[in-house]
Amino acid sequence: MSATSYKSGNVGANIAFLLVGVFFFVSSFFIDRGIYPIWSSGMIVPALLSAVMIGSAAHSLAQAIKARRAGGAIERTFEPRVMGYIAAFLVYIGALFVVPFWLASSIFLLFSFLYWKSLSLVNAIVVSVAVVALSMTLFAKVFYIVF
Amino acid sequence: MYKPISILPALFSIAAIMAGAAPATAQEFPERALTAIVPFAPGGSTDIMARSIAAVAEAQLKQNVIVKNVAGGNGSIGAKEVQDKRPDGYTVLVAAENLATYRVMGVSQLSFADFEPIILLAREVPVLVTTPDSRWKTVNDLIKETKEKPDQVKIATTGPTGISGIVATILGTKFNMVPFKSAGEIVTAVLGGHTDVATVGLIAAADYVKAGKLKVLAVVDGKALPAHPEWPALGQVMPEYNKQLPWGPFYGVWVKKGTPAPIVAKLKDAFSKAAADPKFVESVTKKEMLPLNLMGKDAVDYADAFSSKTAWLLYDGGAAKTSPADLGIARR
Amino acid sequence: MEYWIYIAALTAAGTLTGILVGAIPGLSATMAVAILVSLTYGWDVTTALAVIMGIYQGAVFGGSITACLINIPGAPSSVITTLDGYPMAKRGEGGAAIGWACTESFIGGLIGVLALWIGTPLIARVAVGFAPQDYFLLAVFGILLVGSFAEGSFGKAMFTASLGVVLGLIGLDLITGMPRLAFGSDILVKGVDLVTAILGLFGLSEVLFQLYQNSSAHIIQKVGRLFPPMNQLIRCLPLTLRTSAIGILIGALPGVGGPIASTLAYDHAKRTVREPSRPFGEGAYEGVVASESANNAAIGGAIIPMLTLGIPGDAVTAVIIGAFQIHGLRPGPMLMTETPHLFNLIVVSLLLATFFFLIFGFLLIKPFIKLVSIPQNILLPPIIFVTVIGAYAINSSMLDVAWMSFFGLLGFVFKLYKFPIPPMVLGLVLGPLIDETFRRTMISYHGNPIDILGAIVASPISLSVVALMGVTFFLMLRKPRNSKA
Repeated sequence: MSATSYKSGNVGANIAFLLVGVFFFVSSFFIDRGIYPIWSSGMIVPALLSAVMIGSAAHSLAQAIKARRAGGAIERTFEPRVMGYIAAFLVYIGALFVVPFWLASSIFLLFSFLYWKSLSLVNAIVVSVAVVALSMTLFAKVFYIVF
Repeated sequence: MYKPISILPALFSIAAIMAGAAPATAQEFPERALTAIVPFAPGGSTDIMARSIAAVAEAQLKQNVIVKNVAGGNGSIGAKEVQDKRPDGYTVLVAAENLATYRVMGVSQLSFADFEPIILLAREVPVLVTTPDSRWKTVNDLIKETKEKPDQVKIATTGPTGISGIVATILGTKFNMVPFKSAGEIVTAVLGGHTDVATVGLIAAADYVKAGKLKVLAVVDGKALPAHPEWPALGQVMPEYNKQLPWGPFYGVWVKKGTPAPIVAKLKDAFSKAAADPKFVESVTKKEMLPLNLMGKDAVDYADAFSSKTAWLLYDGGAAKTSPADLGIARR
Repeated sequence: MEYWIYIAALTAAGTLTGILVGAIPGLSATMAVAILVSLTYGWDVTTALAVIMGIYQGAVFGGSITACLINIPGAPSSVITTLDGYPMAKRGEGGAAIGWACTESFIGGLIGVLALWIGTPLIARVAVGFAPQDYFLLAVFGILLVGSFAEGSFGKAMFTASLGVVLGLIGLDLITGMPRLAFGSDILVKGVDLVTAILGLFGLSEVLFQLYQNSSAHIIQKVGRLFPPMNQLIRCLPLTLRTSAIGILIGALPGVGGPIASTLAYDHAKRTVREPSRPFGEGAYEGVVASESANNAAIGGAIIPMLTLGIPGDAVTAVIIGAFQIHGLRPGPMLMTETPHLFNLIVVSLLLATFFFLIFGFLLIKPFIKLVSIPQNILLPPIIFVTVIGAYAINSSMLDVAWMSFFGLLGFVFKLYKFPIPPMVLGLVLGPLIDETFRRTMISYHGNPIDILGAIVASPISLSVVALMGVTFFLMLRKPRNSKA
C-alpha cells in the first residue's frame, strides 16, 4: 500500500448503489402506460424491483456501517497502477470509435504487455500483432464480419 | 508459436479492407460484397425473406450479399444502422411494414420517407383464427358478441403494433387484447385455450388449419384468396370494413435516401430480376404470401398509404400518444 | 449405409465447429447456425440439418470450456458452470473440470435425445398447456433461487438480481410497443444484449479483478486424469438423471432455454445433494454435473415444440425453423406426418453429435489447458481483447463494446465489494420474462386476483408448478445441508 493509494470503503459503494436504486425507482413512474391500466402497465415490475434494490442496498449499507464501527469493514485500496490501467482501457474503448479496430487493439495490447512488464519490446510487438491479426482473420473470414 | 511471416498477408488484407474502396462509380457498381441489413432476429419472417432474396440477387449482382441481423427496437435499430452508413448502395435494408409505426409510437424518428424503395416484394394476408370447437361459426357472430360483451373475448396479439393488434383496431370492437411475443406464441395460446381468437399471417396458421386444429373465421382482406376460396373474406361478408382493407404486413428492399440514381437503377434491375426468379417466386408462394413487385412511384405510394392508415389506426385505437397530424401524416 | 456415413461426417464437422464457436466468447450457436442457413441455401435440407444439429450440440458443450478455465462462459447456458467449474480450475483441476463437463454434457445430451425420440407427443401436449400464469409462476420461482448464488449476503444478491431485472427491462416494451427506461435515447431502445452483459460481467471484470489482486501465483494445471472416476460418475448418476429431466422440461417450454434450465438444475443439486464432494461454489463436481447435464438435455427438449408446434424452444431453434422454411418445409403439426424421415434424421444426427463431442472434447482438453497455462500477465491482456472483439462480433457494433465495458467495470466494482454477479445475469434473463408474463396474466384476467387464483386451482399444470415451489421453499427453510462449516 503506497502512500498515494486511494481508499474506498464499503459504505461509499453501498451509498452509490442506493442512489442507483432511487434513480430507477423514480424513473419507473415516468414509464408510458400505453393502452393498458396501471396494474398491467410496464411500471409495476421496475418500480417493485427498484424498491427491492433500495431495500437491499440500505440493508447492506447498515451492515457496512456496523462493520466499520466494529473495525471489520472492507476497505479497498486502489493502487495507481491498476487505476491507471483501467483508465488506459477506457481510452482504448474510446479510441475504437475513431481509430481502426486493428490499430487501436494492437497498440492497446502492446501497451498492456509493456505496462505489466510481461514481455520484452520485440516480443510484445510480435505477440500483439499476432493476436490481433489471428483473431481478426478468424472472426472476419470465418464469420463474414468485415471490419 | 507465432510466426510473424504468416501474419503479414492477413494484416495486409485487413488493411486493404480498412482503407475501403474509393466511392464507386455506377459503371463499376458493385465492386465488392453488399450487406443486407435485416432489422430482426434470425429465423423471423423478414430474415427468411432477406435470405431468400439475397441468395438469388447474388447471381444478378455477381457479388456476395451478406445478410446481417441487427435486431432490436422493433426493427428501428437496424434501420438506424442503414441510415448511419454512406448512401453508396452497398448497404441495403430488407425490412417490413414496421417502419410506419416508429414515429407515432415514439420509438424512433425514422420512417419510410428516409429510405428509397428498391422493390416491395410481397405482402402477407392476415387471417382471423379460432379453435374448431369455438362458439362462433362466423366472423359476424364474433363481432356481435364483442359488441354485446365488451372486453370479454380474448384476442392474442403481438403488442398493439403487431398484426393482431391492428386488425382488432380495424374491427373496431372491444376485445381484451392479450399481448404475446411472436406469431408462434399466439398460435399456441389459441391452441392451448389461453385466448379465444387471434390474427396471424396465413403462414403461421396454415398447417394448423389443414390439420384441423384451427378454424379460419375470416381472411382479413377485400377478396377471398385464390388458393383458399372456401375461407370468407372480411371485406365480402362485412363490406363496412372495406375502406380499411387491404391491410397487412409487407416486405421489401430499401436503400438510404440520397443514394445516387444510377446505383439505385442497378439495384432495381438486379432485385427485380431476382424477384422474378422461379426459385424465389416458389418460396413466396410456399410462404402463402402474395407477390407485390412494386417499384419506383408505385412502391412509394403503397408505403405512404400504408403508413397513413396504420398511424391513424394506432392513434385512434389509443396505442399511440403522438397524433399523426402533428407529424404531418394526413388521414387517407 | 453410405448415406448415413455421409451424414455422420457432416455431423462431425458441425460438432467440431460447434465446440469452437461455443468456446469462443461472443460467438454463439445462434450466430453460427444463422450463417450456416445462408451458406446451405443451395444444399439439400438433410445435409444442412445434420451440420446444424452438430453445431447445436457441440456449442452447448463448448461454452463450458472457457467457463471452467477462465471464468468466461462461452455461451449464456454455461454461466452456471462457472460457479464450480472455475473453482476447480483454480485448484489446478481445469482438465478434470472439462472432463466432467464433457461427460455430463454427453449423458445429458443422450437423455435429451431419448426424450425427443419417445416423449415428443406427450411433452408437446404439456408445453401447449402452459398458460401465461404458469410461466409467471415459473419465472418468479427462478428469481427466488437467487439465494442459491448468494455468496455471503442475501441482501447483496437481491440487489444485483434486481438491478439485473431493471436493466433487462430497458428498451422497447413489447406490450405497449413504446420505449421504456430509454430516457429518450435511440440507442437505449435496443436494450441490453445478454451476451454483451455476460462478456463484461464475467470476462472483463474477472481480468481486471485478477490484475487488481495482483495474484502472480501461477496455477499449475494437472493434466493427469481427465476422465471422471467411474465410482464418482455412478455416485452422481441419480443427480444427472434428475437434472436432465429438468433440462428437458425447461427446454421444451417455448422461450425458456438452457440458461434457465441449468439455473434450476444447479439449485436442485444444491438442495438435494447431501454430501457434495466439496462445498458448492468451491469446486463441487455436482455443480458442474447439474449445470452441464441440464443444458445439453435442454436441446432435446427445445426441439420438441419446434418440430410439433413450429414454436422455437430457444434462440437456436428459432433459427432452425427459419432454415426449415427456407427449404420449403414448415415445422408444425404436419411435419411429423408428412416428412417422418426428417424427424429420424434429426434424432440420429443429434445422437451422433453427442458421441462426437465426447471424443473431440477429450482430445481438445490438453491444447486448451496449454493455452491457459501461459503466465497470467501475458494471458490477461489478450483476454481483454477477446472480450472486446467478442462483443463487437455479436452485431458488428461498437455500441456493444461500450456496453460490454460498462458491464465489465460494474462487475469489477461488484467484485471489490463482494456483491455476487451470477444473480445479476439471472435477473437479466428472467426480468423480461417476469414482467411480460405478469402483465399478460393481469391483462387476461382484467387484474382480478380471484379469477387468477381460480385459473391456477383449475389447472393441473399450475398446481404442479405451485407444488414444486412449495417443496423448494420447504427445503430452503430447513437448515442448508451443504454448508457444513
